[in-house]
Amino acid sequence: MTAGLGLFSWQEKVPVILNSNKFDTNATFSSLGPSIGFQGLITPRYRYGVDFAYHSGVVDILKLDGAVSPRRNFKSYWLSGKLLYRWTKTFALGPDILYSQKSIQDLPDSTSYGGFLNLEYDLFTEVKLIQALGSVGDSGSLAYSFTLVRTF
Amino acid sequence: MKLALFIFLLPLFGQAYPDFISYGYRTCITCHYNGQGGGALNDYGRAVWAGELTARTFTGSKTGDELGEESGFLGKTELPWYIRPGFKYRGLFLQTDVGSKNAVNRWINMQSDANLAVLLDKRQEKILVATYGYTPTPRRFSSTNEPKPSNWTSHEYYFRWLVEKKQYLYVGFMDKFYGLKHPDHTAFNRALIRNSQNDQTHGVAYQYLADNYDITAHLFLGNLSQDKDLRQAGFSTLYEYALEKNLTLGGTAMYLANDYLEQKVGAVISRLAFARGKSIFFEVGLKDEKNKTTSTSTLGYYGYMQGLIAVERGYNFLTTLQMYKAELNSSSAVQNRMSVGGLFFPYPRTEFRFELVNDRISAPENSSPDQWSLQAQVHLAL
Repeated sequence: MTAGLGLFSWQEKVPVILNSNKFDTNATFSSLGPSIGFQGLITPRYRYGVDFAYHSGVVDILKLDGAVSPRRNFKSYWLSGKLLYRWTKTFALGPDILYSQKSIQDLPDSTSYGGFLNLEYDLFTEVKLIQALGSVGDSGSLAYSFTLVRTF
Repeated sequence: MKLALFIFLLPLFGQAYPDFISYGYRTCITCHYNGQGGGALNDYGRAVWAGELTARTFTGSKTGDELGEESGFLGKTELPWYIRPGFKYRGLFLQTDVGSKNAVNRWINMQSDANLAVLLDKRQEKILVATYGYTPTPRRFSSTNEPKPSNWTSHEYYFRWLVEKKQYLYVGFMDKFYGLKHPDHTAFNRALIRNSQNDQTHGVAYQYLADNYDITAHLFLGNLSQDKDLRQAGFSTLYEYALEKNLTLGGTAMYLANDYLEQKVGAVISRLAFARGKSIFFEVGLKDEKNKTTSTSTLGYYGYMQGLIAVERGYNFLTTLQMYKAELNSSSAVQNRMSVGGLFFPYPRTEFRFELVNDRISAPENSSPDQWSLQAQVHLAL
């Protein structure tokens, strides 16, 4: 079992209304929150993991000419499954697939998916830093997170 | 041979970058003449770079000892004990708006320096250090009628004196002793707090290096070659305590002012080595700036975190995360800069950096699309 605290930043499309037309535009999400997870061994070199993260923060919709680009509060649930290859004694990496459910103030709830490359460093015997780089939704933009995790 | 022996007998000293705590090097002064790091390398620093950090890809069957012995200014040929010259060059290939049709490529000669250390005694208790070199004209001068500053300037000249065991005094022109020093002068924890490439100052610094901590106090008058109203005078302190051999925690603070501004900054610093060649460090601080002309003040924060993961000797994976918020109120923009890439030492006296940089600005009514840039840097030293 693992428990951690993470910092998240990503862009994803959200619906906006401009001149009575509704369309999607990119918005930047910044959040912080806890996570719990589980990891198991496949072979000494390969392991798999499942993580659940709840985080909340603010979302800033990108500025559009003639549009209001407000800041909204949001909360999000991330469920991810990953496969990790242990490159060295303290360093592992591998793909991570994400399912995301989020609620944004004044906007409808939405679901999205993402893909990451996870890089995990064992800082101490039971503490690791997980660095994830990838993309969420159809924004085509970078998503990243840093999560400090304790193993139990 | 004596140099090689020195390296193996004293493995817990010296540092080129803060990341190298992961090689057992916690303090800066064994590798650099300057106790905060940066600037000219001494003989030991040259030998560590060549013998311990450099890849063996292109060095044939030479051992670390042999590479260390060849790391002098003239290779194996020893110079007189009292003189240590050096040259440094850093060039940067920068591509902005990566992946778009508006991409712009530039080559920037960031640093072309000659440095000289004159040792006044064999025990190296008294040393004169000077660095002189070419600095490119800042881009803002291309669109103004302001007189351009000289491209040839002194970056440092100071006298270092080992007053007592573990106690150093520095007098002269040098970087301010503040924060964790690394070579990226555009980083938020350097450029935004007036401790960047050309922010050296005249002053006096005292440094005490204990077994498990070091502390420095720096009193400065500003750059005396500037007009008096522009000189940023003040003081700074830096304290770092080794909780373990591979974990440090500390604090740093700086106050400076001239006729137009007053700046107070303070930060928590920490470095962690979690395996040989693998480390992270961070600096998180507050910045309080007052504009004396308008009598307005702003309080904001900044953060800098870097991880360096050695994949194999000389080839490292580099990650940097930076944050800056000029004001703590909710309407102020948050700048995030995330970069991933590599730091390579493929050959003696040679360093390559490659980073893909993502700049993200987030704020109500002012958020903008991400900016991507590609940075490839070469560093050559003689």
